[in-house]
Amino acid sequence: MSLKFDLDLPRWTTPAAMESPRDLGFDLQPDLPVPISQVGGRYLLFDIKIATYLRREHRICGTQTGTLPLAPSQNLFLGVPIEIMPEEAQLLVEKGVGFIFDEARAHDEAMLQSSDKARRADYLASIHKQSKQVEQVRIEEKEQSRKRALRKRAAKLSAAGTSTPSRQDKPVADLLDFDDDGAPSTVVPTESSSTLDETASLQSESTTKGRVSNPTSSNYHVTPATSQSLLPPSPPQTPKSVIRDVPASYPMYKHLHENGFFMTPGLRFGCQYTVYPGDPLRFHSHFLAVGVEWDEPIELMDVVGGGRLGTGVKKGFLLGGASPAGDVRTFSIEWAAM
Amino acid sequence: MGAPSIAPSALQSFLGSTGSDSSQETQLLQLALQIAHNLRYQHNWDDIRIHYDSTTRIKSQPPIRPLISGFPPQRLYVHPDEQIEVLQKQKDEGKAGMPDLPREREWVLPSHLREKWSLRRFGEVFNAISTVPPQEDGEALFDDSKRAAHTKEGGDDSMEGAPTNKWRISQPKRLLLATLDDDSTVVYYIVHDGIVKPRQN
Repeated sequence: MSLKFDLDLPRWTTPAAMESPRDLGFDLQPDLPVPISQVGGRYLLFDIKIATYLRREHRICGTQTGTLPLAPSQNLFLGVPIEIMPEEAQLLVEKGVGFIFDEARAHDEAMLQSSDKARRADYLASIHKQSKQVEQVRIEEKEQSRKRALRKRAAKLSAAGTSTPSRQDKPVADLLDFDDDGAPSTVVPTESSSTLDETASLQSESTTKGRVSNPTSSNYHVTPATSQSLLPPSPPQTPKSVIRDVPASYPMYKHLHENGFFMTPGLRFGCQYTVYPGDPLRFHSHFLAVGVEWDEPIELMDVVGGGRLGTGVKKGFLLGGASPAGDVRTFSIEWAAM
Repeated sequence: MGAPSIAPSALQSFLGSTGSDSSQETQLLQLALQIAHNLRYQHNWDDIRIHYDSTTRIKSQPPIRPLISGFPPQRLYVHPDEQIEVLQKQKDEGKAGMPDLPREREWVLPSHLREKWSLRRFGEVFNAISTVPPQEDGEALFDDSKRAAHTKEGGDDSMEGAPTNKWRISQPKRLLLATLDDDSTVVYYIVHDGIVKPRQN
């Protein structure tokens, strides 16, 4: 089902709608740099095509963090947004592939800009149009329920034979006045939640024969669910921003990435990264990597622990970091069964 | 009534030749000797030598930490790709399983479990060693002349001269990190200077 909107939605904040089932974006070459949303201190990718592009071309896998609409009460299978590590975001920014934009701040700044009056007028007009559509739908609904009640009454009368029609009229009329109080309220369609797409789909399916009593004002005031149409079509670019919370193991990460490895967070193995020789969907990881600083004292017990853990799961323990000369030195440790 | 005199343990008598001061140099020497003792008597290593000379001196961290080298009784480390190659060759010849591979001389770095290392120190140790421990260098620790006569099978090309195995010389440097614990157990870890994928035993 394709969602038909009346609004002209900019693309950079909506997840990319699939134009057709076949258009999966396998060959997508997006305009660089691609936007990486920073929300609540986390780096998220909302567009699935961009996420697959980064995985395919730049070996950035990320972790899915969004629940699936079809199966919300489980967390085995997750979807967009894809969360990437600060190291991955830093790497993409350094390579010029991505740029960070602070969603909250960009949104506030866009809202405060009053330069684009035409856009604001469009926005207000579209909101107004929506409220009109809703009112139309309500009128039709009322009309239909009135007809149903009259039909029922007529059936009862013909079955009963005798009655006083005048006395029955009033209660019926009272029944039908239940929501005609005229007070402005948030729109609530009959059985479903108030979302824009619901009202829009109602509008697309219903007939256009509604009787609109007042063409200029409406008793229904729509509370918009998003402010997308107020935002400019392309996100603002911050020049080569540096991520603030990059950990000290970043040189090690970069070194491994340049050597063609894929990396995912290694929390489940007690290390910093699990290092794969290829896509994680195709290979088991080869190493558990920990990045340290050049002169940081390393407890031998930690080395022993890492080596034992790695050998137990058929992985090597990789210890590494950047030397003052700039190059990264790594040591692979495994238990020698003697 | 005097208390019965307890004979010193083999390790104690072996270490008795070193000084009885507690300087760091002596401690490191004793550590190395204890590891060597373990290699010789628990793991049956041959031709164990201790190296002090200037090529293994780690200049920035006096005193010298002596290094050990020796021959394990059988091949200690087979790179996974080498293993694939050997198995393929076996299969081509119609045999099954791994053959006996010639053993290779290994470096051993003695350490105590409570020591604190750093990337710099590991880097310095690797910078100071050669890929293959030299055959005649250093000081032999045990009199192995009788043992050498028995252990001649399959080891000829590695016992004499430089090894010709391409895997030995083209792989990144490796050493055995020996960790001594206070209960006198020694556990060994293979450390490579680089990114080397793990073995899949």
